[in-house]
Amino acid sequence: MDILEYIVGLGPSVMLPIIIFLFGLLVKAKPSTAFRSGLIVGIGFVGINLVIGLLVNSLGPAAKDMVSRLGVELSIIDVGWPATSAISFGSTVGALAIPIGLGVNVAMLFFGLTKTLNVDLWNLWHIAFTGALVSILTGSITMGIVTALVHTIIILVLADLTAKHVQEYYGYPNVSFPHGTSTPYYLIALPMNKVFDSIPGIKNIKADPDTIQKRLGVFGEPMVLGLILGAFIGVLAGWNVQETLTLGVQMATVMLLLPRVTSILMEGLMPISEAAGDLVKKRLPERDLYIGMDSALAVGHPAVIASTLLLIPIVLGIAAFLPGNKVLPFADLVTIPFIICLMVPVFRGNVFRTVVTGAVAIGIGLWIATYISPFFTSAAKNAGFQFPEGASQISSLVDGAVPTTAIMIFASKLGYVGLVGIGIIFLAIASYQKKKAARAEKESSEEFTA
Amino acid sequence: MSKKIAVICGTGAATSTIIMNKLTKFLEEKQIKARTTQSNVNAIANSYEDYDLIVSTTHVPNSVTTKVINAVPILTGIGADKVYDEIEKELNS
Repeated sequence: MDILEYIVGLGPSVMLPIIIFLFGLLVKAKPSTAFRSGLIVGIGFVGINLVIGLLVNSLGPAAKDMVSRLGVELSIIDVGWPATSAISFGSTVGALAIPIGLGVNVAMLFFGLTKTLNVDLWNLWHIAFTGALVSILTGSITMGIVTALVHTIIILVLADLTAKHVQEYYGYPNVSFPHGTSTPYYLIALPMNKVFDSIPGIKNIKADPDTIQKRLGVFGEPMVLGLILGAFIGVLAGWNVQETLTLGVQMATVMLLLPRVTSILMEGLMPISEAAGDLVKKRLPERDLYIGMDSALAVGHPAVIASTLLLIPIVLGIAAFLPGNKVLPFADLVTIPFIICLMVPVFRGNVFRTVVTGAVAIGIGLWIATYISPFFTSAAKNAGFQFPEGASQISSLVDGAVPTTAIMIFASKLGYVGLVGIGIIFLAIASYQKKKAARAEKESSEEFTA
Repeated sequence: MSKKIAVICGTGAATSTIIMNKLTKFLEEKQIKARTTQSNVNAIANSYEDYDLIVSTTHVPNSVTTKVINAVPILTGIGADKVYDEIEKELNS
């Protein structure tokens, strides 16, 4: 543990290259490849840090002025998933997230408790996120590691449960989405769909995705959204024309650059992720597997885009008027597709149902994001993100507002019992699914022989 | 004139990076000259006219009239060769 703490103490821009290099050697990538990968990941990290600096330093003062002028208490800046993932991977637990995620996945495959092989190592940042928050909250790295372990189980079980939708509705054969943001909302969509079905009048409301996209499509482009929001907040802050327009262009810059610098991090991780995937695939017995992929594959679906376009202003409105919320939604407004993309198949593409459920889920999520923001901010500081003195607090919608974040945090308050309890519940679901599948197979083969 | 390809996914950060990398290698091997740009689905809905070909890992709106090739097989590895063939054919046409 001492060595680990020393390496983490070097700061993520040094630690991540070392960890990635060592992990690369472990999964038998070429040393030169492992070295390049490590360095590129470090570069991506520094790049994200720069862009977040721009975001916090320019939007922060505007948010402050808006708060003192209008009295809306939105002082916590939503820095978005790119920063959240970098902060997560940059934590002590984050350094272990990839081995933990892969290890749990292989073990569950071995015992037949999942059918998903997650080759999307990038998205292990979700378990790093909850792990990092819990370790800060409890002061125990071991608790953080257990959190990451349990969170992996939850995500894999939910990926199996939603696989049929990914395959049938989105049309990706043999694919599932072991994605920390998208999968939990499936469990919210199921009961909501029953509710919608039982209310006469609401039952038949629909909205046409193509029309919405045609009318509002331009606002869905991240840089345009950044410009509009930046300028809008400048006006609300009472800034002059020059300051307001500058803020608009700065926010457009953030929106355009965030995915660009994040893709550098991704580029570094890719060769290692492939080497690890090949190694695991080689060792596993041939059988019917789902390949675990990023739910980004579903983001372009018309119903997903249309619902997002409608949800962006609704979420901003909720944030302004929801008592107890302090989060100013910003960078993750364009990440809403990830929140709703596994609701959409449950609602059979019904935009109205998706928007209502999304608004409720994100509204509740804003409270979660507000609650975790002190831990989030100290995780960011631990990861070497620099904030000016007295700067705003930060948080994010993805995964700051995701139900599993709340579940893991509150479970950790009960100690190991809480965390392990949740793990057992999800393992029980997995084992029930396994038995059900075995029974179905037996019946169909009996039918065949008869 | 070399053709312009947009490589896109939901965010312009994750899966499109993987496709970008593999596609660039493929184009080098085949010595096909083309200009590649990484982007996201929301941006492409407004700028598709600037490109000759769109290679995407996600659904693209119906309003986009540029030829779109589905690149998911390149991610999963199942049927990737067919996708590369399709891209090559499109670029040589």
